Amino acid sequence: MRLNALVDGELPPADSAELAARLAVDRDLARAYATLAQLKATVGEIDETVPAIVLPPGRRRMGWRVPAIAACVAVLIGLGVLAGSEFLSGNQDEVAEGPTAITLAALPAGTSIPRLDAAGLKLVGLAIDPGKVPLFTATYRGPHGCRLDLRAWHIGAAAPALIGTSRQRWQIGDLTYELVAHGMPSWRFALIADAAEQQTRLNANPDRIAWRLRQAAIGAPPCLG
Amino acid sequence: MASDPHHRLMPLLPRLYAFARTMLGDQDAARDLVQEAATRALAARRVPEDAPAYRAWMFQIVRNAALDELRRRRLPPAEDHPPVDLWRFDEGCIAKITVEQGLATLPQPHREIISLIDIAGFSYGEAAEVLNVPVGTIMSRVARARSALLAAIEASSVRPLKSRHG
Repeated sequence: MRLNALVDGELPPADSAELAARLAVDRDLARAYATLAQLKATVGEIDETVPAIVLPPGRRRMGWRVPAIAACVAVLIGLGVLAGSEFLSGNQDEVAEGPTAITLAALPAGTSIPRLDAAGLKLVGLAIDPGKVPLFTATYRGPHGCRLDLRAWHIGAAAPALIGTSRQRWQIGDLTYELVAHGMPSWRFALIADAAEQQTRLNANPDRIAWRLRQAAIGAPPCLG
Repeated sequence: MASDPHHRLMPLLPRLYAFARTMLGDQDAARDLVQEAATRALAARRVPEDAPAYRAWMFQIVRNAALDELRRRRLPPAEDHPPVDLWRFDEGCIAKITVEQGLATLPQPHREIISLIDIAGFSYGEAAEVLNVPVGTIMSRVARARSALLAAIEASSVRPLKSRHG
C-alpha cells in the first residue's frame, strides 16, 4: 500500500525518504516499484483518443456557449483528436433529402461548413479560431481511408500550405475556401469539391449538390497515398 | 464581476471522457454521458467557484451518471482476480493495449479508483472528496485496484510485442 502511495506522490516526506532508502538496497522492492510506476504511466496514456464532445444544440441557452463549443472542439482537435465522431452529423433522413451546410455563430456571417455525408464522408473534426488563419479547418473522413480538409480564410490573408494530392479553391464574399484531398481519385474529388463549393454559396441548387454527392458515393474507391 | 466558472469545463472534457469510458467500457456511451453531464452542469444554478471544487463537482456529476447507466444495464458483477505477485510481475506485459483490456475486466470500483487517480489525476484527498470516503480508504482501494489490474493483465493472453529502438 505504501509503495502505491509513493508512486502517487502521496507519502509524507519522512516516509518517502525511508522507503526510497529501502528501494536503493532492495532489488525486489525496486522492481515492484518500477512495475507500479509503469502501470500508472501507461494508464495515464489512455485518454489520448477523445471524440469531439459538443452540447446538444437544442439546449443552448446562453450566448457564450456557441464560441465555447467551437473552442472546445478546437481544443480536442488540438490534442490530436479526430476519432470517428458523429459531431454535427445530424440524422440520415436529413442527408437523404439533401445536405444543408452548417453555420456557426463563432464564424463570420455567411461562412458555411458543407455536409458531405451523402458521399460517404463524415465531418469528424472542426477546429475554429476566428482570430487566426485559417478561420477554421474541417476534416472529413470516409470508410476507406479517404480524408478531406476544408479551410477558409479572409481574402488577402496568407494561409499556411497544406499538403495534399488534389486541391480546389474558391471565393465567396470575402472568404477564400480551400478543399484538399489526400489520395482521392481526381474524378471523385471533382464531384465532391463542386458539391462543397455549391453548399457555401447562397441560392445553390440542392438537386445539383445532391446529385454530385450521390455520384461521388457510387463505387467509391479507397484513397491511396 | 465574477468570471463564468464554466470556463473550466472545456479543459476538463478529455479527462471526463476518459473517466466515463473507463467506467462504462463503451466509447459512444461515454461521449453521450459526458455531453449530458456537461449540459446538466451548464443548467445548474449553483456552481463551485474555485477550480478544484469545480473539477470535483464535474467528476461527481459524470460519476453519478455513469453509475446510473451501469445500474440500468444490470451487468453481472465482474469477478475479482486473485492477488498478483507484485515481486515477480513481468513489467514487459504492461502496454496500453493490455492495460485497456485489463481495465475492462475489472469490477467497477477498481476501474473507478484507477480512473480518478491515474487518468483524472486526482490526489488521494481529492478522490476522497469525490467518492465521499476517508483518504485511508482511497489508499487501500488504489492498492487493491492496481493489484487486480496487474492480475488481469497477467491472466490475459495478449502480450505486447517488444519494441526495438535504434
